[in-house]
Amino acid sequence: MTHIITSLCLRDSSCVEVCPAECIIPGRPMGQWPWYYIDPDACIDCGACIPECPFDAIFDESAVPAQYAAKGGEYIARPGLEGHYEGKNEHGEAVVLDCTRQLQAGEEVDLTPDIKPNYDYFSEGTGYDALQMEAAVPAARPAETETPAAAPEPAAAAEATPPAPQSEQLEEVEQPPDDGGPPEAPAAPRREPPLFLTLGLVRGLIGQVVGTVFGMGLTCLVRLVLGLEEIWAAEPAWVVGALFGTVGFVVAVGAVTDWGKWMLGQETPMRHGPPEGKPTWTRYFCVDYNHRVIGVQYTVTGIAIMLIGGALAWIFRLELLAPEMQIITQGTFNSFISAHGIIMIASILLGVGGMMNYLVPLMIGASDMAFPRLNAFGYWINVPGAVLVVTALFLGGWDTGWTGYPPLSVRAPIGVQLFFLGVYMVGLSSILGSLNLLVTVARMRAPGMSLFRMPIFVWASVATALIQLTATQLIGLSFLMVLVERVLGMGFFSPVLSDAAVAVGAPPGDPILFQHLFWFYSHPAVYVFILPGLGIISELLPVFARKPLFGYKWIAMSSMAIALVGFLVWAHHMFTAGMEEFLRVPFMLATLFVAVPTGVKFFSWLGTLWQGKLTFPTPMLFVLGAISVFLIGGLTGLPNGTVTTDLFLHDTYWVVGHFHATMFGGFAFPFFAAIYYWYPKVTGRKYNEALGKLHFWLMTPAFWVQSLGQAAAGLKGMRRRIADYDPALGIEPYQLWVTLAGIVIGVSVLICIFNLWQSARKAQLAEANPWDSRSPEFQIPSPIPEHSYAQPFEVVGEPYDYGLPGSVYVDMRPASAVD
Amino acid sequence: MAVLIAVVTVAVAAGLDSASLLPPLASAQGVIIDWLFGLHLKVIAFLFALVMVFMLYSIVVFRRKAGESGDGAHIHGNTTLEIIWTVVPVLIVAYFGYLGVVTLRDVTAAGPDEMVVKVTGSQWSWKFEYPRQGLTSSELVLPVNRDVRFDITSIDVIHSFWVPEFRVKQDAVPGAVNPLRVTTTVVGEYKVRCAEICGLVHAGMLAPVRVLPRADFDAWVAAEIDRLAALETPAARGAQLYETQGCKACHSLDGSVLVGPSWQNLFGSQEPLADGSSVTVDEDYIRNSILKPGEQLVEGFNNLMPATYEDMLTEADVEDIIAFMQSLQD
Repeated sequence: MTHIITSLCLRDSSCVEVCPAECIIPGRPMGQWPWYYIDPDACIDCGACIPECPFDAIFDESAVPAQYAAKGGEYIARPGLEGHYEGKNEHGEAVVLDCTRQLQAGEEVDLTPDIKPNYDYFSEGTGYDALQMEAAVPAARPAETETPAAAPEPAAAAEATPPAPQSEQLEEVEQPPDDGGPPEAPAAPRREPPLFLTLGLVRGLIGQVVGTVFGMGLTCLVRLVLGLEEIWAAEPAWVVGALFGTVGFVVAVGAVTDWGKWMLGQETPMRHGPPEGKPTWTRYFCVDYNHRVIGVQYTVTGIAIMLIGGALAWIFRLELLAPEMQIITQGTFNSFISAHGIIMIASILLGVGGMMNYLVPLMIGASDMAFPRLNAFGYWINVPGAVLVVTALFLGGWDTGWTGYPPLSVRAPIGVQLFFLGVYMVGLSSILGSLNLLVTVARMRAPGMSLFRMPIFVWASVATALIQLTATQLIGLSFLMVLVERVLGMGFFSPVLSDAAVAVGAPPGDPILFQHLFWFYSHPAVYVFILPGLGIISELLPVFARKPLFGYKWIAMSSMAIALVGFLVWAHHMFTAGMEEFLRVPFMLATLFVAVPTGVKFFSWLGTLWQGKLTFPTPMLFVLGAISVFLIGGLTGLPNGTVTTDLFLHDTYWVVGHFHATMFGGFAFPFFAAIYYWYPKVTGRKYNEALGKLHFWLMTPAFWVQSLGQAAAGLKGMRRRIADYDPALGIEPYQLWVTLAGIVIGVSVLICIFNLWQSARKAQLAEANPWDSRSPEFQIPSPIPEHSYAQPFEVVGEPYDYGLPGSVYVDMRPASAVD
Repeated sequence: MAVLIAVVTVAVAAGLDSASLLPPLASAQGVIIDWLFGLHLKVIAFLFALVMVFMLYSIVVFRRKAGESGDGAHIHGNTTLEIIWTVVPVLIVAYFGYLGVVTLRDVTAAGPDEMVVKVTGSQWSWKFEYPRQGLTSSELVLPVNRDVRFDITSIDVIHSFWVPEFRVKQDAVPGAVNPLRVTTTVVGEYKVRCAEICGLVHAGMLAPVRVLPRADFDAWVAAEIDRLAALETPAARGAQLYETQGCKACHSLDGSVLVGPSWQNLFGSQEPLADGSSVTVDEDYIRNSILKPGEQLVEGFNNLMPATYEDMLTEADVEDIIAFMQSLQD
């Protein structure tokens, strides 16, 4: 494409006049620098504009200069400059330009900061808004006659293609050209649908219901055509219904609308800011492409379903207070523990997605994720997934635990199918999100941000995304195989064959194969859950210790080591499963080896604390709590890793205690730390410190009690996933303590949510950098503006050089260097 | 600092030691496992003390004092330290890996003259077959001080054979036979507890275990053989099948409703079916319900009965069970 160097452009518009392709577009907001951009999609590289520019600001792509040598007396324009240019443009109109400066003869101006924005303006910036507004206000264009030429294209496309699905038409109707339409289209009184119905979430849910009914109808139709006796068969109907329901959701919510438009050859302007004419909060319930909105959507959805999972835990913990069944039946208990497991896992994945989406682009100075539409799709596909998992509870539930081992899952109630599909959707989100994150980190880091100058959380996110991108397929595959085994009778895993299968001589299935496939994801998945949390610990400790992160490179590499070794340990979940005996040894050695990089993290954290100047606001308390809880989790893991002791501990409450401690220490505590820490940046307000500390002081001791109580009960013989236990084991006191602790943890989380909700509405406004952090997101206002950084910053130092006077990490105004 | 860590280590280790965390021990394999677990607890106590003492010390000593300003010491790291706390754990981990391999070898080693017990799990009961003695029992009876090899399998879903006092466990996988070796050491009564979730009544999938002195075991075998030989009436054989084939996990004899209908006074009664019709519980209905459990479901019950009895029971077995049910009239 042809380039305009925006610093040199002083808004002469002769280039616009000569351009045959309508590709030179004024910047937005109009009347402010920068004045013009070239739309790379429209530009035909004719070069006609190049000689027209009186300022020599337009170049062929190959000739774009990095430096400009001033002749003296000419002006440049850049934000931050304070001079004025007053004069006339070539139409003879008077213009006054701000942000300018007159150059001295021989002065060298660095033009590199001007080149990237020129590319980005259209690929991810405001460029398409400008195009759209141009089309809406034709009078503003100098070359009026050419406006109609652009118009026929979409119209022709619309005629040539079959009508779009209904929901997309709905959406188009609802987005009127709002700034005063042309008078010849007199206002037919437009009936606005109620605000409630314009929310993407509501429309998505309606779409899911419609899709489900459609899928069920389709199933019945196929059965009818096949001449089957029973037209209605619940299981295939629900499975097909759930699939179509999910498609219905993403279509109706609008997560695929832009891709549909691309296929039709239509323009898809990148929308920014809240939806026009609606309150700001509505953007959180609609498809929005801003990574920070998506991050908040992930986080809030994660907390919401965490409440569902927690409520289930409360119910079955109360049931476990005493032997015998009192509150719920065994079937309900089994469904609840299964649902608790998977809902909490989904909640953690959403929380991880929330932290990575919100923080990583801010930390590396990217304006957004690399693929904003994919990002939004990746979030929204979770919602129908969560709906499916919750619906499963009402379809008989499923009594398999979250692991869904066949042959049990082949026999379980229909609920298990919706559980499989729900997990499939959440997994799809993981894959897409991690792809997006890896590309973003690889391609969109700020100038000067070498890999070892990235904030440590970015390293943790990259390690996490590597796992998600490469392992998640396996759980999707294993669940899908059970799903089709049930619906289509393909005997992948069941050793006991149907008569029909025996008749054709089919080989029996292998239940152990499922476990290999399943754990190939599900073990690395626990590192997906904890690595971001450990990254948060490493990220926050230096801020509150006022010291550099001890052994930055070691911590970064330990995340990668955990991620990679994590792929070689899956069969430690199967030490008692009856796989080949010799396999136990290599998997034991690999498992124990994970302790080494984990130990490096612990010791480096201690090194960071040593000789610091520690302060203890709520985020720091949660970080320290996380270290103590993760320590319990890590240490209780050692005897699980050694095969011999695991033969005793496997499938007992010892493992339950171990796992909950790793999840709380590796995810929940750091997650809350992150929420409190970045709360001022997200909301622009201060959370209530007293309530935050109350949350901590309730949750931490309670969690210790819960974890140690679970482990102790397990040693006494308490098995996993049992609705009732033998009073002869003498574990009733442990059960009492664990239940009480669980209730306290739940209450503390409710206090936290109350705090976050109240503070967002009423609390004091927060300053830009309440923690005196060096991280770039704290160098811009709270709440963060729509386009996070006014211009790309430049990394000029180490990220954690606390205690080194005069050092900075990022230079927010690299352009001013030319002053 | 070192003293502090040592004190806390000893205190935590002693606390864990005196807490008698484990259930009673009744197998030779368990001795090895308990020893190794104890060693783990000592390492856990040390590492716990190491991290917590440093952390709490830092919190107390390095906290920002009132009126203090400025940052902490500008220390980026220490490569020597990092190498030390990478290499030392590698060595510790390698040592534990070595111990794991050696103990695993000992725990799985075959004895010279093993007694074999075939263990079969099904939803939700255990069956124990003694091939050499020609016995089948729903109770696991073993002689003390004997090497026993359990050949463990399942007829439906995955279960897990675990007697906490024996320590070791092994999953029962349909389509496969997995061995587990236990050397009994202590006379006593224990329970087999299914450790892998296996559906509705997983929690109740227990079976009694008795470890007897050698002479008592032989007496039990003889008595069982006599008792089984004495089972001349079909109803008595049916009662035995009720015990050993897992019927009793879901069907009571005293009128209480478990997972399935109670067998008390069931034969000859009229039962409403889930499809709205009703049926007289006669021989045909019972036979069909055993072999094809889902076909004629009684209202109020779910189709949870394993469909595997067609393969497990002979025609004569089914007749015996029907006879047993007929005998359960008041």
